[in-house]
Amino acid sequence: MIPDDFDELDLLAGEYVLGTLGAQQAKVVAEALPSHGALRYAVADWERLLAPLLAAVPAVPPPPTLWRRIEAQLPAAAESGWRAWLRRQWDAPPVWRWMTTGAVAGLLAITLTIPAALRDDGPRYMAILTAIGDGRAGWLVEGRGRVLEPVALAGVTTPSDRDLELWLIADGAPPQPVGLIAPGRVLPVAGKVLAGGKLVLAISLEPKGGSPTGAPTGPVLYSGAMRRLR
Amino acid sequence: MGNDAVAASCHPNPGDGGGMTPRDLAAGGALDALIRQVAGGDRVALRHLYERESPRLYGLALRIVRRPDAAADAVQDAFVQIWRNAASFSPAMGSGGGWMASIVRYRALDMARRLGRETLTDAIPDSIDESPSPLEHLETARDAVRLRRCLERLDDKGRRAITLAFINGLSHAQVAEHLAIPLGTVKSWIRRGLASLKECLAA
Repeated sequence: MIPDDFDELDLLAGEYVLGTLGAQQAKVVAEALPSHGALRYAVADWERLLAPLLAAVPAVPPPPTLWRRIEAQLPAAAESGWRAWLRRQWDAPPVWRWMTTGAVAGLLAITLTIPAALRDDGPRYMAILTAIGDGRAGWLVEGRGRVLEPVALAGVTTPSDRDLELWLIADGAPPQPVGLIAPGRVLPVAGKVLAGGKLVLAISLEPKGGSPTGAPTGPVLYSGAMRRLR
Repeated sequence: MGNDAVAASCHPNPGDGGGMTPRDLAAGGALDALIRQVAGGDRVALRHLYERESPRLYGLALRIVRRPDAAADAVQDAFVQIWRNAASFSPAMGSGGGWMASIVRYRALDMARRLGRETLTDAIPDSIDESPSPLEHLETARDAVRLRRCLERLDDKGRRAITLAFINGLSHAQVAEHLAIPLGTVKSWIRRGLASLKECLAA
């Protein structure tokens, strides 16, 4: 089992990266990785921290036939030119992703500003929350009146025994819980809180049902500043 | 096992080229560019990647599985995985060299486990090479300097257990055998060592 406590989880991840775990335990960790964000984060962190030690291992020329063996295992058909080009454009980080993020933000700014100007039902706010790990845009949170609506910008998988919780951090104050994130769910916030000073939103990984303490207990996965649109 | 998942894992602390020398940065940049080309389906780029990195990666695998045929299998599997998963690599996640080393290590560790690493405790310790000391190689880049400083703060036992295990791909049982101490003691040294290491590195 993967421990709930982050320190325990981090030690397990460290043992996994060291390689000391037995076959059974290593398999449990490897199989949990794709769906367990916190575990994946911890493993990646240990890999990065310990990697410099590998410089101590001398390089050894591999057998001369090895490249041919690898080549024989690659898929036979080469991609046609335009498909390869398209895939490269799509995969090329990070300019393309930022362009996408920028386009989404721009579009949203326009769609939010125009109706608001027409109907004048109070200011609009928006935040793009980026992943703490790799800086990718993960969530777009729209605020209007007294509600916040988080929308996932990329596929998000949460372990079945965990929930994502949204937090609002007003200038220097401790994080206030906003609520658990679910597809299409709109989260109410106290009146006028959005109109306050500098606001930052954050999303943390919490036990099912949300943080039992009223403060974030799990790792913070995304964060971003809230901006007023008009 | 879930090696694909590991290869696709996201690395924290983006783009910390940190205290690398300009030469390291240029070399790392070239490696990252090759991986990007591989992601676009460029076989020639994979070949370049192989020519550049295979001796280092084969050395890592050989150190863990200790058999040339198994080490070659591990590197072969790893390169097929690098070909398939190159699109999931982003320089923002960490170094390309580290990404490839992790893929090879997990393949080699799986193989070592299948070859009966857990039961081979008596045959293996003789072949473990503890010289040169791994710490002597930790001189240049800033990340390495920090790791060295934090490793030096651990007590001797914890430091030896951790570096032995990581570099040679040893199980708890093999570390115990090599250092001639009980298995339970090794486990707690390693856990304590990891916890202090993390605390020091995070400071």
